[in-house]
Amino acid sequence: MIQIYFPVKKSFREGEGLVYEKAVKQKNKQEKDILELRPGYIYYFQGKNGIGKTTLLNIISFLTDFDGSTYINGDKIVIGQTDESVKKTDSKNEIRSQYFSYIFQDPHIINIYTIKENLRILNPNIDIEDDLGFISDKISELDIEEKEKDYLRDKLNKIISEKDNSPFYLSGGEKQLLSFIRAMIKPSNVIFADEPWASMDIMLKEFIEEELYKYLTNDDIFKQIRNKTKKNKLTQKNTVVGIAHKFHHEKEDDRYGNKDVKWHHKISIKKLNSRRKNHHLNLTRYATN
Amino acid sequence: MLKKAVHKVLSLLKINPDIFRRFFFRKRSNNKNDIAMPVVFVIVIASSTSIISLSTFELHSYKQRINKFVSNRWNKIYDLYLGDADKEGVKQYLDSLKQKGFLNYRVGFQEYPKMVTLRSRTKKLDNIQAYAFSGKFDEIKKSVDIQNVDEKPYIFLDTALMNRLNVEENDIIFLKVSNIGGRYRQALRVKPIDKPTRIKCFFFDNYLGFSSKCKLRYNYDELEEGFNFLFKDLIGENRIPTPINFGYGDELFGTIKRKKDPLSDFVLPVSYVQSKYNLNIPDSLGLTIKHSGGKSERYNKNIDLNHPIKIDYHQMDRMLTFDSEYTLELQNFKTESDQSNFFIELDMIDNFSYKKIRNNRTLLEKQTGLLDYSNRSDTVTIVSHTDDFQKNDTYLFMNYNKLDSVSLSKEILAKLNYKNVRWDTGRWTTIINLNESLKKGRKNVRILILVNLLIFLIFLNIKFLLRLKLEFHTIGVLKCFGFANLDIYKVYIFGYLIHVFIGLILGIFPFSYITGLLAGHELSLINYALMDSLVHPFNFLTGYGAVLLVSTFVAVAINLNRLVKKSNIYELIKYEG
Repeated sequence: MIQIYFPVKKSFREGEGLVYEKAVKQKNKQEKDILELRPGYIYYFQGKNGIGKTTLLNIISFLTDFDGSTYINGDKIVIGQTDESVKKTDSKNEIRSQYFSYIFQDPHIINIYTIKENLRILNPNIDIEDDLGFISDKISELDIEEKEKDYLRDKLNKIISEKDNSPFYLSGGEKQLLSFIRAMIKPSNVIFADEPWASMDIMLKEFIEEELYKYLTNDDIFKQIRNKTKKNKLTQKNTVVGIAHKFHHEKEDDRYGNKDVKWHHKISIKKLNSRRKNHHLNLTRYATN
Repeated sequence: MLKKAVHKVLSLLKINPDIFRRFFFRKRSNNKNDIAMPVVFVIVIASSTSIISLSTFELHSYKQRINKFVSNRWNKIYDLYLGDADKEGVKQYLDSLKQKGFLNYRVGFQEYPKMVTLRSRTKKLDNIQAYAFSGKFDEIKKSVDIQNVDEKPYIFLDTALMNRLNVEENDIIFLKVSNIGGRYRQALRVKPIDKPTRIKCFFFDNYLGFSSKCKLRYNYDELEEGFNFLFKDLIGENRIPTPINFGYGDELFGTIKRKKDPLSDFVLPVSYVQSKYNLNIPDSLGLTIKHSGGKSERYNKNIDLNHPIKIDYHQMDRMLTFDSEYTLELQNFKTESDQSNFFIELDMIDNFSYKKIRNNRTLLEKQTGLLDYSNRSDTVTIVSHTDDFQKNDTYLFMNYNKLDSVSLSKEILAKLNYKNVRWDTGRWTTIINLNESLKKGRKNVRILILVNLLIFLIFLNIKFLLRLKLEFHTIGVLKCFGFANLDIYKVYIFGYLIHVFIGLILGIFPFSYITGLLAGHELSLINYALMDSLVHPFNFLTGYGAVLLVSTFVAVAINLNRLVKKSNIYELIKYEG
């Protein structure tokens, strides 16, 4: 599980950044300060624009340092079921390398590399044609309409055919798909997904939501590629921590309706430039069956 | 093969090959690899290297000239004229330097150098400056690697002079002092000067001294040819004035003399002897010879005159008539066991005196004719007696050992000039100038290296500022997915070092060659300088290369540390575009 002790004592960025206040200041209620992100769950931060969702996600995923304390193992931060394997000496970089994977709001694909290289640097054992071909085949087994399958296969085939080219001319959605594939093929226990379906059409959104959900129990179609590397053993259950304004499923179907969905936390934050007004950030947890 | 080797190295260094490749060749939006950046970078290094090379070529050029100057041992020898100088003061000063081992000097001779006229069979050269050295001048002999030649009548000529005289080694030439007209005083055998010297003509021992003597001996294996030469050429056609000696080996056999020595008639001596004394042709006989003064001498020794007596000179007899003015003096007698050659001997002075040949032109023509005869005889021996050198402390020969010391050389130059010594200051100054140019050149190269290095570092920093901005996003994404700073350091440092290394290699070839040739340096000098750079680790060029590599390492590390080691990875990622 991921346990994050927060908020912090000092401002994140003195004079301009955000300040996370303690939700409960009393020491005897310290346990309430611990944000637990357990394996087998998807966590989504929701809240108004500019409230600090991405910043919080970046802090949790070690992409941004903050002035407060972060501790590894035995103190405040524990990584899922792999906590035994995480050593005190492991640096944040090693934790990122071994346990974390990322999907960003923007694709953040490296344009000066080829598509193949973008994937291969994270999983040197990947064979683009074979492995993505395999994924393409697996799409046939998904419980979606045939035209959606064709559409997904087309997108994958385009990535395969363009593998030796720069991703520069891929569309925004295609880049986002590539970014998603990149995150999924990297061996990880936690995926941080900052609105991963931004600029995606409805069919790709559904595909990503479905695969992220399956990732929690390693049932996703990318599992086999992840397994190709000996870098890290896959755990039984994974975690997804993300940001979402409003979920596709809430509106259009009841995909998660039969799952444990509840408000888990309400985090009180405030901006420095508006001290009098508290902003609230909701954390929603979706559990596996 | 190369690809495998590169992958092997990258694997050893634990560098991701994809990241490494894209460090060099970024993918462009048109799917082509961007090679402009590395090429420009490498060209900058190569150009900068070639500039350093160019300066080292200059240095090597100086070095080469200095080596050439120093290797010419003549350049260590200077003749000082102390005519107007404080002789004792100069000697005291030179003695002080001699004690320190900086130089050596000897008292010179009054007559030399002299302007001489050289005469070969076909050419004559006037006013050639010739030096005569004593064989005891070891420094001078060492300087041309000539040992044990002081007894031989050789004249050493440089090849240009030999060509002008149209002579080859061992040819005989005549010489005399130029400002004294008349006959040639000396015959000397030519030896080439194959060591670099500034002196074009010299000989050991005083062959042009007041009392020096020179005789030419024409040696013949066949007696008949010898007598042919004697009677037909010398006495017949050319009418060389007597006395003319002839003999065997080193023994003088006889002398033909004429009382007044006219050019017109001559006597056929053997015929004369034969007819006068009504000789038969015995194997041996006793001979009485009547001298021109009327006095007769009886020679009781046996002689073998078979050969001369058998010779038929009737044809010449018909041409020439007997004249009682001629006498034949037989001094020695050849024995049967003596296998020595027959020789005919002429004296360069005695046979060509004005008393005997009054017309100077005729005299010189006849004397020069002797050079032709040297070709016809089997060998020619020069029998010389040298005059003693007249020592004179107005002339000093100085042997200087510290040509590499600029300060000492300058001090000596100033001191001797101050003391009014006349000597070859131009030659002395040459080495001072060359050494000073070398010293100045070295300083300039050091400055050039520093300036070049500074420019390179500025260029590198600008490149970093521009390129790292471009690569913030890439570095951010790599770091986000767990690539450690060390992984990125390795790629950038190793990549830049390869850039610099390739630049250095290209800088040497072809850039340095091109700039060197354009600057007018010879290919051999360029080759030598570049090889010298590779062989000697502390050479300027290799030093520059090493400094460049180390600077690159440091600069890349510092810049990476400053720019890449940002704790906020998300900030790097957002740099896209």
